[in-house]
Amino acid sequence: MRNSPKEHDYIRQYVLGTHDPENEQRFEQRLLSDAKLLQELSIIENEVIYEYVSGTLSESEKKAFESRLLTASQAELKVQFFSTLKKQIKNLDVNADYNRLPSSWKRFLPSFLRGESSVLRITFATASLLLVFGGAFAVFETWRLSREQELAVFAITLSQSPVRDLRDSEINIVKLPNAIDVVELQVQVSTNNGEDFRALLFTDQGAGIYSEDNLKAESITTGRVVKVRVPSAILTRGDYRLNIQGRASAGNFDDAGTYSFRVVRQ
Amino acid sequence: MTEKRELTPDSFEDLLSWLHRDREEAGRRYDTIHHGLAKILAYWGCCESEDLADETINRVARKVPQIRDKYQGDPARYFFAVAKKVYREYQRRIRKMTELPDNLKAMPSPEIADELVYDCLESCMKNLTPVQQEIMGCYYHLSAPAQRESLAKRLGITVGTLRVRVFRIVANLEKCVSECRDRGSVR
Repeated sequence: MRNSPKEHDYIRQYVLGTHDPENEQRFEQRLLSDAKLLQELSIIENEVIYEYVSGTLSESEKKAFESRLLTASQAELKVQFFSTLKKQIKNLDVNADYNRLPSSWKRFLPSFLRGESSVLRITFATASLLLVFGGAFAVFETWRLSREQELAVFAITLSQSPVRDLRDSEINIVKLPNAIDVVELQVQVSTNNGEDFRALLFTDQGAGIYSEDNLKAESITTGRVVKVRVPSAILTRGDYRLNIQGRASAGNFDDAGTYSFRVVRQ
Repeated sequence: MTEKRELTPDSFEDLLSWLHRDREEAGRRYDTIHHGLAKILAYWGCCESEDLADETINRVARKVPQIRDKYQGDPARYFFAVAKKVYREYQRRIRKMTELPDNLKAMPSPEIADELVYDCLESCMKNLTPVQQEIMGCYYHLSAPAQRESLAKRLGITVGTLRVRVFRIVANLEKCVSECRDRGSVR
């Protein structure tokens, strides 16, 4: 049992002696090890006694109170105390607008944030941090993408090179102007190759220098193309081979074409 | 009256170490057990609930050297079991009593007692800060749940925290009134 409305009701019933006796022993044992529960019992006792002296207990609750609590040793003293407190409170000049009370800035917060639960505070702090970092990341990504859009891009369509030996193939010539940031290599793919593609770029010596996954085919007037954006800096003068692989329905990758090209710097 | 065999300092330390290896935490658990026992015994109808709680603790403390290595589980349950035994003995004693104890033959008249408590409370309320007095007044005068929610919001706390705060103010007032009443007059 946690301090829930249900537990509050049980404690009140225990104070009045109208509780379910089945849970009584377990509840009483908890009183010896749960300081908060013990405090809650004392608070509810005070509330019941104040209601008793105020005459706001129901008839059945009043009878239950008189047979249960008034037999306890300190109860009569408590009744006397609260009866006297009630008289004192009547004499106090109480302001229903609480104007004489300091007003906390926390009054603008919802009640769960005004609480003293460290779990809630930590959860709220964590959520706030995530929002801040998430926001910062979104701003950074927006900046990065907008920065990319300002990059100088050189696009070229490559024809497929079925023969492996570059010297014997009809190689694509890529004349790169100066001050180019990105080379966009466009290759046509067939519908049989699927929707997801992977690109692998090799030098003519067979060394892998660039790869990119999760490429999507785009539909154009002449068919479908996959666009591979390669940083211009890695394409020094020389021969290269671009291998495109399409993801089959089984999840493995099938060869979708090899495109050889020679970079010439202007 | 139960024969009192006081807890020696050594047996008290033994008891605390059984409750928890950290002395401060052991002290907190001891307080909870002591208050809890007094509360439970009062609800069971014992007029001498504080004395019986002490008796329960004393008996457990005397048993600690024998049980500490064997006993498994929450010590609170052991205290509870001993409290039940102490309560049964108390009931047997009560049944044998046919006369009112002497201390009840010289009770002050209700009117004098009420006046003294009133004066003591009035004096003790003056020891509260203006904010505490205002909180007490608002809390008890405007007792509808919506009004208490509004009061809690004004203070920037939850209703639960407000209840605890009022409870602590009341506990201090009760203590002050009790001391004043024992003196027999307001200082």
